[in-house]
Amino acid sequence: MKKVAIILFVIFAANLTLAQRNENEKESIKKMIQESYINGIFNDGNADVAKKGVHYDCDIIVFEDGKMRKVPAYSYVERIEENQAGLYPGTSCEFTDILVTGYAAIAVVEIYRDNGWHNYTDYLSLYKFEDGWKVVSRIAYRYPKE
Amino acid sequence: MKNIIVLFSVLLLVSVTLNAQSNVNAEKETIKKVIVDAYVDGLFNEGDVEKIQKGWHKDCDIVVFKNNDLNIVEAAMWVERFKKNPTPLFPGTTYEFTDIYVAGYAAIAIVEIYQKGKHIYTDFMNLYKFDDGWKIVTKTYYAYPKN
Repeated sequence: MKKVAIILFVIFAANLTLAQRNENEKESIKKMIQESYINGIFNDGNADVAKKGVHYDCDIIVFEDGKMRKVPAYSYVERIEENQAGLYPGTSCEFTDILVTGYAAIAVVEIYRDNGWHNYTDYLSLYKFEDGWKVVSRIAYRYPKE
Repeated sequence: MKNIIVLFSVLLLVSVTLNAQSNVNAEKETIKKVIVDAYVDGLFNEGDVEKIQKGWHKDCDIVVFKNNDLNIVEAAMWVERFKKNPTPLFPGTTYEFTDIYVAGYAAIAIVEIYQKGKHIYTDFMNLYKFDDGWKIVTKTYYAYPKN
């Protein structure tokens, strides 16, 4: 009986540790997206900060007029590097959900502009590199302008 | 009179909300079918080029995480592979959908893949809705340790 109780306790503790680790990863992802994507690209125009969270080979998959095209995410990083300005100051975000499995994750992020316009629902695909989580692909739904 | 207007407004709101939810659920079912046909059956169970071509966009990239770097693989390679050799990759592959998110013409589906009872992949499928239906436009995944 005592052995069973110990085994159950170990399983419970292991699950608790895993759940906590998962929560920690989600918080790291949120922080990275807020700093590198929302602030780095849209609000502050800080290329060094943006580079930390966006992989060099990341493509933004744009859907327009029923067709898709790939835009290198680094083209935006180069733009803010040249202009030293954010692409859309006053941008904020809300996290709808983040799903983490090992070194892979998906973040569902709602993007808002300063006039309250719900501009995008972003689906960001991420991998965990040695130097942290980075966005490796993005698709999005663009809401009609209010 | 005021009460009747309030009642009808509430009923209208409930009806619109239920209708929207029903549309999203219908889209989710369609997306599940696309993934099962083009991915689970197309690649693993049947090796069916037509099914693969229908569900994977021709420019879809599979973004692979390997040795702390990215390896971008064109999904179109599967079409060429199965045209030459229609042997399915792993008959008996099964799946479970963990979740599907839909916003307008964009969606993601999280799919668990099992082979011989073992959990092999968690797949993150990114999809857009084209004139001829939903198609996978990028994929990332976690591969479980083999032991």
